[in-house]
Amino acid sequence: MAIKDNRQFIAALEETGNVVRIQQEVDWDLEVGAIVRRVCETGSPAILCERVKDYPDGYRLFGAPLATLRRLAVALGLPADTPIREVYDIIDRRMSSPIKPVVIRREDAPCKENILLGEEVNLYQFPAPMIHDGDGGRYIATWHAVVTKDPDSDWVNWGMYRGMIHNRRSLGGLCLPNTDQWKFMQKYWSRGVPMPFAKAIGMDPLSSAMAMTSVPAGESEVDYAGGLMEEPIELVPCETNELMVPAHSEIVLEGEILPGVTVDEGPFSEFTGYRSAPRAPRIVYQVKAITYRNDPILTLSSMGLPIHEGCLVGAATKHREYKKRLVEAGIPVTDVCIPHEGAGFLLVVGVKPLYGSIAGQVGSVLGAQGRGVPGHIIVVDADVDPFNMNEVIHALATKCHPSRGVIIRDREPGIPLTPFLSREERKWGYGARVIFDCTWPVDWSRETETPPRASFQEDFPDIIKEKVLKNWATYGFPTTS
Amino acid sequence: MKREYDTFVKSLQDIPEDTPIPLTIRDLTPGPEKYDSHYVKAVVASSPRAMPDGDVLWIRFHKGMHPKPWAIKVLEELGEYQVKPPEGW
Repeated sequence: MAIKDNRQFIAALEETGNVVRIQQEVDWDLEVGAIVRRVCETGSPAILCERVKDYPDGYRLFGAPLATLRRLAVALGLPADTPIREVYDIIDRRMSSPIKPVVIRREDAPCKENILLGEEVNLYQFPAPMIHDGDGGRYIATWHAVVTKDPDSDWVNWGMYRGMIHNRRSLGGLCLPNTDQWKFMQKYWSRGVPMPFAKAIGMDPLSSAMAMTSVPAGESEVDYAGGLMEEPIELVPCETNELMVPAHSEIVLEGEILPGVTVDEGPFSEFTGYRSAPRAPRIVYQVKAITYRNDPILTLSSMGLPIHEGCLVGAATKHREYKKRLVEAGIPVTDVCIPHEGAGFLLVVGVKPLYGSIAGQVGSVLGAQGRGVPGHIIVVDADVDPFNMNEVIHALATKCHPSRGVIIRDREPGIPLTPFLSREERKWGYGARVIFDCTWPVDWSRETETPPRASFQEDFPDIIKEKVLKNWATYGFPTTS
Repeated sequence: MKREYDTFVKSLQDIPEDTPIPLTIRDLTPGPEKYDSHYVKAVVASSPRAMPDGDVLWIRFHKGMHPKPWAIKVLEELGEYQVKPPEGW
């Protein structure tokens, strides 16, 4: 059965031992952020903080919702121990069949249980955490969707753009120039009007996952969220603008992104594992209404060193996107892996090299995508499993010629938060890419020039391997080794 | 009772002393509204002794904090937002 909201998800995590309920009071000022950070760095269960300092009973915090593959599997309605390739295959299959959302009545929407309008709006009503020491403020929006609409079409975008409380009714936010939200915003602002927005916080886990995934221009993440859920997402209209939000959201902030003004926002320890962008004047979300469920649960992601939602969900959804793009270009791809440890900046592509410079072609095809493509691409032969980091690192170290095997592409579209880029490159959206060709050159004779791999599988006759495997336990080894 | 604030600067050169400067400060008063931000005109002093009637101002950098508190006197609120384009990614 589909998990249709945040609370069903927490219950499912609890049934499978993937969430810890913290009953003792915790402080929203750094303590919760530190707990969630350690959860990410140790692969521990998610947390539900039931008592938060300075806040009434019932106001809760839910941290690290999708920071492990186990929790992603549960969100998909799968057994928690589903292997990674199976999880990816299911995501691929479900995202291939998007489902349009449905609109439900306001009175049936849990997010309308409480409505604050105008002067009643107070963002400090919710226990927004100060996540990392050194953050520029309290981030109420780190695991959510910012809903905006193209003024010239029906295209609705969901994006996960961070939101920091500035004062009772305003948020500051980072919105990069290569994002759909930025492009929409320029259209509104060029007409001298603010852009309506809604921030839906604490949605069902798959809607949240899609909010941090890029889909083709003109398409809406909500349709893909429905595909992932295998049911239409239930939406409800906002109170103060024409946007729609998931009806089961815990908290919805509605308002306008104002032209011509800014607030100081950031710094913030980001998905890259660094606090890389400085404090600067950034866009203002002025909040005009807040709707929320009774006993609201504020969701949070404590970004930083892997593994967190940014690495895990990004890898799961972009795996499909990159593989599809390479296959469509006619490249004989065996598989694609975005290692979680690479924080989205490392990609491994397995190929069957049938012609020269296939690694260069991989770089060209993915580079043409424009944005968000990892800066480091490792291309390996078909005999290397892209998901097996032992094999990948071995191939990189032994098959990639340090000069001929390295292809460098400069001045490509980049991700402005990339830590290795200079300030100037970030400012103008430039990036760079390196492709490590770890395939044997096609013009080397397979008989005389490429060395055979020395492994149990490849270096022994079948009869010996069968004997060793058959006798493994009697040699004295545990049967699982 | 002195109030406590902090502010982010790139370097100490951004906050000249003894002259009114625009500044975004965060109110560090404990409670649910801690870190509320204000865009103000203020004078600051690196030595609290030089401004005995001033409030406490902690200086934060992109990395770390100044080890000793400064003093601040808020002259006026400059409005909720700054009239500036977004920048700094």
